[in-house]
Amino acid sequence: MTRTADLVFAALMLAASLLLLYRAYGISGLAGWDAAGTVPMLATGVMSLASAAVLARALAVRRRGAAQETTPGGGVRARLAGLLPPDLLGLTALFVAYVAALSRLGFYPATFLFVTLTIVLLERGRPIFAAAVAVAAIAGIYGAFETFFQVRLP
Amino acid sequence: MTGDMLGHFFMGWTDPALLGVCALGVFAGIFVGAIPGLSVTMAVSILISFTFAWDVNMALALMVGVFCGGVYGGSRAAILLNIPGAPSAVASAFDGYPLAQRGEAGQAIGLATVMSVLGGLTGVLVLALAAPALSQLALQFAQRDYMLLALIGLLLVASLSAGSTAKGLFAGALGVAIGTVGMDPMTAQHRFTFDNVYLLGGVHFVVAMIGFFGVAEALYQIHALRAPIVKQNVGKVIPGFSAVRRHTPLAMRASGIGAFIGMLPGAGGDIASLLAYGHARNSVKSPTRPFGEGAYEGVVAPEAANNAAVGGAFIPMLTLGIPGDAVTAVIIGALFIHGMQPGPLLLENSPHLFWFMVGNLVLANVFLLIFGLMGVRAFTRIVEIPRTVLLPLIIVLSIVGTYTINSNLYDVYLMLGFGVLGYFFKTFGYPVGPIILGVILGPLLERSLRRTVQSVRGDAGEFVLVFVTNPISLVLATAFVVMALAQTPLAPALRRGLGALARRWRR
Repeated sequence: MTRTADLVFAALMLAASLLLLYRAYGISGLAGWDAAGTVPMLATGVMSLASAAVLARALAVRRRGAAQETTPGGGVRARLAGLLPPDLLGLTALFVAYVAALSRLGFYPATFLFVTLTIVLLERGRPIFAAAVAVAAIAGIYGAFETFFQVRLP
Repeated sequence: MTGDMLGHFFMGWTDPALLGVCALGVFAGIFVGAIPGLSVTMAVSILISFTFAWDVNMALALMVGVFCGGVYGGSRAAILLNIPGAPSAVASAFDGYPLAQRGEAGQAIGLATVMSVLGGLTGVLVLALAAPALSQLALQFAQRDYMLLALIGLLLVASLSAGSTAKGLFAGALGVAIGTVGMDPMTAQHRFTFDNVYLLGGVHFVVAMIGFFGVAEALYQIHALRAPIVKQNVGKVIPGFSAVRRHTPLAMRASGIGAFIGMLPGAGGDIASLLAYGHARNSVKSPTRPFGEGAYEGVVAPEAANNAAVGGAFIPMLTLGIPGDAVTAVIIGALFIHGMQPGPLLLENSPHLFWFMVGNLVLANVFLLIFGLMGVRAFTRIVEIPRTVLLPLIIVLSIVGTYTINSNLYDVYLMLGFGVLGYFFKTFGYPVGPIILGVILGPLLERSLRRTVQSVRGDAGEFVLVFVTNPISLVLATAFVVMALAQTPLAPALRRGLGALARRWRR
């Protein structure tokens, strides 16, 4: 990851930690070491200090070697594409759609569609291969989960 | 008593169902460990929920098998592809891959298998001898001592993780914070619920585990999707007796290192294998080849150590309820789910469970030897499975595993959230292991802290006094303070000061 991306992420973690520390303080304030908010405050306090240390280091690294950063605009797009490639975004979208479809279509149809579409997306085609893998996966899941493990499927 | 002990030790060996499940676990573990991108922790996290309906012995037999098989299986991809299948196999690639490049992959795998079994059995022996003794000692531990052990475990895992200590501490503290979500068990106050009714019940640790270890890894593997799959030819595997005899002394020393490191809360096979590799480099004067160019000693030492660490990791897990590494953190969760409470009373109240696990670990190592030496071609094919097929299957398994906990789809969405967060953590070099240790150790830490404070009625002076007047607490508190200071910029100054003191003392 580039130095700018490291810096941005470290800053986000620090901001999130401070927000959580504020929320933790709101649980019971400084009521005592055995209060409900003590351990949450300690944990988020450590998070805040640690993320501040990470941010400070990221700033120092960036100051030492900032020359190799690409120009804004095209550079930012390229960095985002490296962090969030289209395959990842597609897979995440399919994941969310799959979970939403579970209650509407049922487990096996939703799983068949998810596995098939995911393999087609990642392989850039090969729908028959994808469908065959999906059928084999469903057969394996039925055998493993409904008979061997006896778990409740979504 | 001895008859009962032996009966429980051999229970897994004589019951066909338990025998079969252990074998299945080892086979599946080698499969999972051999594939870069799948981790043993991921597999065991998902398996926990699948084995809800099972008897506790069956569930443990499967998970122990997967653990042992997975730690060993990581060496396959390390030797064949120079891509460790598990973190504990990193050191095995240093000399294993050069051996494969010379056409000696079979010999490397064969020797790795035998030495893994030797290390594994050594670790189990240490477990069988040390755990009962430590369990007796642990009966004298007070709540404050458990608090210190939890802090030491979190600090160790943070400082020993890949990436900076600050990132490790952040991850550990995040895990503790996640463990506090929901209603406070003592006062019922809402903590980090953000006015969401669903979060009142807290975050189930299995949801966090599957999210951070399963989904996050699957998402991260997107970056390696187009990596070419290298086909390997593996020849003769079963090592000669002279090779085994030559390398056994090193394997035994490495096993000792592995078992000791595995015992440390928060440290596991990855640290053990690297330390053992370093020991081999320093102690072996005439290796088969220079280290880094295909020395068999460079495979023997880490493989013996990482499997010995498995037995070592079970020691604090069973006797103190403190995980030795991420996988034993997951196994602690499995024991909770089945109504068991790991800790010093486990050996008092349920010695049958302890001896059953010891027997099962030995059995798992026997299956490791069989599958490792006989199943080479099958496992070589395994590393050739395309990631485009693996990723959707991992996600389906993760969803099923998560849904099984509470039959609630909100858990699945939360798991996805953890998975996305875990992806960013991996991308930016934050370790994920400390998060899970934090989730498991956080409640123990909080419970111990609050009980200690209540026992001294909130008196700050008395709170400090109890840590210095009790010998066990004093040792643990000193260890924690020293370890904490070692992570700060004061460490070099402290070392110089202590060195000067030591020199003055010697005069």
